[in-house]
Amino acid sequence: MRNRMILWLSLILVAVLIAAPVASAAKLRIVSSISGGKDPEEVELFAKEVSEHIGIEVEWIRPSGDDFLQTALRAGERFDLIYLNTPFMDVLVAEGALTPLTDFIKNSPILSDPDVIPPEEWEMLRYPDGEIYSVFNKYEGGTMPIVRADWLEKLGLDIPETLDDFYNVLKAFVEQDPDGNGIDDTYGLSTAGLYDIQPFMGAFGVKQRYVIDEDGRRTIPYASDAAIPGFEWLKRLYDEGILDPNFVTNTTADMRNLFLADKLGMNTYWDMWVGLYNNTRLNEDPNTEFRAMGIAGPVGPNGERILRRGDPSIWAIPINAQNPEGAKKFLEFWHTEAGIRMGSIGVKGHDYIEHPDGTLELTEVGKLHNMDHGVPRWYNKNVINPFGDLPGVKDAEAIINQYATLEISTADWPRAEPIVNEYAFMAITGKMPVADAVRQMRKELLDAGLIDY
Amino acid sequence: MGKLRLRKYAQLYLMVLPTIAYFLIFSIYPIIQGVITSTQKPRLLGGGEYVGLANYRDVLQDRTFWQALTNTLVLSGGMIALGVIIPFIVAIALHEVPFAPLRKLTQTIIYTPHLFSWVVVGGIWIQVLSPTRGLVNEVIKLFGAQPIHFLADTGWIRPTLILLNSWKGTGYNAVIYYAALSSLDPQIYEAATVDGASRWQKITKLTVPLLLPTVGVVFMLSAVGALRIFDQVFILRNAATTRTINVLMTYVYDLGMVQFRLGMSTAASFLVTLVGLFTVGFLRKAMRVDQTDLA
Repeated sequence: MRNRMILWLSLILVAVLIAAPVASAAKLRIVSSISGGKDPEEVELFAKEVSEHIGIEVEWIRPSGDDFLQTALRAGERFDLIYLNTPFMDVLVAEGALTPLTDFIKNSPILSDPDVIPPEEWEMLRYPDGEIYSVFNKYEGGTMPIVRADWLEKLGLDIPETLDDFYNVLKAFVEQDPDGNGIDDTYGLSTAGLYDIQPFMGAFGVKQRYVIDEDGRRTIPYASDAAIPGFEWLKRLYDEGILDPNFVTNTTADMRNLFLADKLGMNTYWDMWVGLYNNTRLNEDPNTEFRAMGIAGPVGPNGERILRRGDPSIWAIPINAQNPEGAKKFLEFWHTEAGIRMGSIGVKGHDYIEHPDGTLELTEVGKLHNMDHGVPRWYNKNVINPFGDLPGVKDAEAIINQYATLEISTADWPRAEPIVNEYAFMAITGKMPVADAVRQMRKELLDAGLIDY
Repeated sequence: MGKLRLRKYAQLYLMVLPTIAYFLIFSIYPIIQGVITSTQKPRLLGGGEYVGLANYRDVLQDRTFWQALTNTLVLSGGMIALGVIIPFIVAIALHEVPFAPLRKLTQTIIYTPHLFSWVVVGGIWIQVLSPTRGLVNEVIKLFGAQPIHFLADTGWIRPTLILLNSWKGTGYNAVIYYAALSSLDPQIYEAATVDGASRWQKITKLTVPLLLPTVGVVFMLSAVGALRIFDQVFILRNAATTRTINVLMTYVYDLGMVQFRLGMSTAASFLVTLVGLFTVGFLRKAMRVDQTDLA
């Protein structure tokens, strides 16, 4: 009797062990710290709706930061689809840890459609071996000066074009009480550290991060003499109280809050945020005068303007994925109208409701989520935003498309960045003469072998 | 004989097994894995190429490591000094307060910051020290001085961090001193009173010498803790001050989590452990902590 019981228990155990991998293989495990539901409850709803669309059970893991993915992968966790930024993708590609997707993309009727993703965009993701290892999550956009257009009008100012125009506008925002409260409590410009002074440095022809010449020699233009007048211009803003003194320690949230709280005339941030700023204030008060507008950076003496295009955020399939076919199904779905609707507006019945006539209406939760569940904007030209574009976004996007270029990081940038930052801040805040700071920055970068000239 | 002993204490040995298993699984095994990783160029999906001691060599040749070590020594020096001296004075002062409710209230207030995480403390002090809206700079401006950007100025950030650390940790160390003070024999003080000793003399001639063994213990605990500081630096560092306050543990974190150099990161963490072991060994020997009454 006892032996029989042991035998049965053993058989059950073996059956469970065999069935477990089969069951988990059918499930699609997705990790993204950006896309998906905004809170644990919505993450579950999100996974459920994706499951219904693609016909595969989905486990959506939404960690709070990027550290999780690295730790989990190293610990042996297996995921079918992972959301990455490009530096992390570079590491995984170098290790041979990602599944090549070139043929899949070429043969996919959705992803190879030029109206869904423009063919030239794929070149951003192609590696020297000719392979593409990832698929875009969204259209990335770029960062640009975002100005209070209503303040410009109120103070009778034109949209600034040159560095002098920018200086005059920013100074007016500080001195002419644009919020009309009679208190000296506004700043002209704020940033979150050096993120992002590119529009202003661009007027001097200086590009952020690395530049590599045709011989493969690397330099960091912020450490060149060409950057000196750019830092001097920013130092002038700092000295005169035009630049928010907290810009060094600001998070992007601090900067955004200052702008939304009528304490700031200009900040440099994503083009998409032109619309999000306007929408946030419109949601609070439909009669608000608040009007954010994305503008091109100041034009340099030689007519140059440089803005920053964001690194692509992408999806990739690890080579140890248990359900790569399911992952590919999701990647196609994510670029269809239904997928884009989920990535933007969110979950049906939670973020929005669909009326019998097919029109959509945002719920209170949906309004709070600002039509952004990882895909505020997309490449697919066939998909129209049912609520229309957020106010100001289209114009901002056109400016980004005209002037923004990708930055080159290289694997050495994380080591170079603290050196660049330290001396740039010393220059702007006057702790060191600007020219000395730039030269010392260059010397340290050269000594550390982080630049070649 | 051995067999007999084993049989006699078999039940006790069995009871120890879970603890041994716990340490084998959660301490020894990770350490062994760490040693292996530190000799590899590890891949994120597992495995890696054996590189011998190259990761250790790379760490020792990395200027950032030496910079982090220097920062650690400077910051920990300040933190240990204040972390030992200020609570010592606070505990003695508290011990002299005769009105118990006032003493308890003061103790509670001083101890409270220790209960908060550095995330909370950091958030509070970023606001308090802000050059535009912060309380401290508002006071500075009242005296007609220019506001100071305590958290972004490379000249101010180290003293600021040391003071904040002391503010947060004073209550905890003061409790340790106070416990030692409370255990001192009152008859010694009664005898001193009979001999005509003043209050000051009792403090300097009795209390301070009797507390020295506890000072040794607090010093050693602070020294070991100071080598492992991470949270406060991680929370309060920013782009302007990173290189001035980056410490060994943030160096390890940046290598592994930001630069994805896991082998080098693991090698660096073992070097930090070695520095810690050496420090503890040296301090134990120098201070003869094992031979003190309280050890």
